[in-house]
Amino acid sequence: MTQRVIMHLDMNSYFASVEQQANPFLRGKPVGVCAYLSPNGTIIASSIEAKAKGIKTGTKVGEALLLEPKVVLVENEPAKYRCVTEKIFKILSEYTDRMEPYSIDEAFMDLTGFVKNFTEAEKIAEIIKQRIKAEVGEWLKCSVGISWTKFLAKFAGDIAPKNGVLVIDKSNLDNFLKRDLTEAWGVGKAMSLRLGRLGIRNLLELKKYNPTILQRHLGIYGYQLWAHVNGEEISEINLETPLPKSIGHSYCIPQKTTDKVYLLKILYKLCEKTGRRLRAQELEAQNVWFSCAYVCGGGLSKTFRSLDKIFTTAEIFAPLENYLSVTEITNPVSKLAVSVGNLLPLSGQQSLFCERIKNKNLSLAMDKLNDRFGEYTVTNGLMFKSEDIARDRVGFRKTLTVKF
Amino acid sequence: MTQKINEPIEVLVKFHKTTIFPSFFKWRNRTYRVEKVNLVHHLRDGENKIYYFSVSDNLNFFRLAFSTNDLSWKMEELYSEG
Repeated sequence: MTQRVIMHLDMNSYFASVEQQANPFLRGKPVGVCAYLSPNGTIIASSIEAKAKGIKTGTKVGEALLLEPKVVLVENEPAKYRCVTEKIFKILSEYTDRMEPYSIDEAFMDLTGFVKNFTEAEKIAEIIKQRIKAEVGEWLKCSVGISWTKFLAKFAGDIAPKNGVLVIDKSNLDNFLKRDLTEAWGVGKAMSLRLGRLGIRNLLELKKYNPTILQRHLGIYGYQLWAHVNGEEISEINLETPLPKSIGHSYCIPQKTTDKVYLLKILYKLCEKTGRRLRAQELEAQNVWFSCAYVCGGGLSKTFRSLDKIFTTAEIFAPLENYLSVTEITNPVSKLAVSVGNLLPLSGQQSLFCERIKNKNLSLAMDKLNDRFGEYTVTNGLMFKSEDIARDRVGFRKTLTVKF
Repeated sequence: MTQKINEPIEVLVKFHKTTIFPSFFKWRNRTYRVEKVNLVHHLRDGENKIYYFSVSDNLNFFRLAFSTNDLSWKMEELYSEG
């Protein structure tokens, strides 16, 4: 029987490494890639050197400077990371036709049938690592996990040494499972506590636990966890890009304010960015979610359901504008977020109301113009002078838009 | 320290198979020799495709931008130590 071989590849300190690849004078220095360079901006990736100083993902810019005054802070550049990801995924796709891009810096490869065993897969991993260095950039490193299921390959990749390759086979599985529950993919602190209440303290104990009792207490997820650590495959390599659950954008406002005119300008831009992605993916939405966080904590959050499918930017924005026209903003706002959910493929359903079709076509025509002449060439007047608001940001989203 | 420059430059380019490498460029009346092309990425701005070359010599990092729309080169950014 053919040995099932799954490989998981995870780029190390990805965005920071790409920045160090581009600018060799940053190599060996603590580097923090930020969403914004303002003191309240957040570090979204830090170099190995920055991590050693305690600067991690989520650290505020102000805190990072206190931890290491010499930290080099650079604003993130999504186009650069996507481009590098495209090159890496192109290399990976030469070794199998079953490759699943999992995030901007992670991918699964099903090598079953392409290699005879794990030893051959290990050789492929080394070749891939060398090719990434030679063809994409010598500063880019990755950790590779190899096993016979997707879960175990990711587990191997996650616990592999940085820039290393780790193979988990049936002979060493139990040894590697003598680890904290939260080291496994999909086990957070809350689940770890629930497992702890059943007397399960590590992954090996989870493996040996009775699956029927586990399912009784934790439902199907409990059984799935048990199956994962027992090396039973329940999640095949996903070759098709899954339909996103939601599409949205958020923005940390530099000018903390209660000024509705200013806030509506930002909201419209977030709606436009959301609408552009919705239409580019040929989807329609059934609800809009909005949130507004106050500087002092708390805020507003609301979901608007629509009987008609939501497609145009105006349709996303309208319920938010109506809501804010009758809702008092009691405190200065620090962050706004908009997303559309319950997504469906574009139906082409005709509407009885001509106005809706006209607006839909107008939206598509504006998208075409912006595709051709550059983003925001034609926009709603509400977005006037909003160039510096909510610029492109990179997300660690699972649904990727990279082409390879 | 990074400085935003955004000024036009003259570039001598080497074509190699399917890739191009800027070898020398002239900026503010001084010629710089590119020692290494560290990274190339691109960005679409409407129909315009801009190629960014992250290059360096022994002392500086430069970010050069090539616009396919009007075949123009710009130096966008300069980073030098100190």
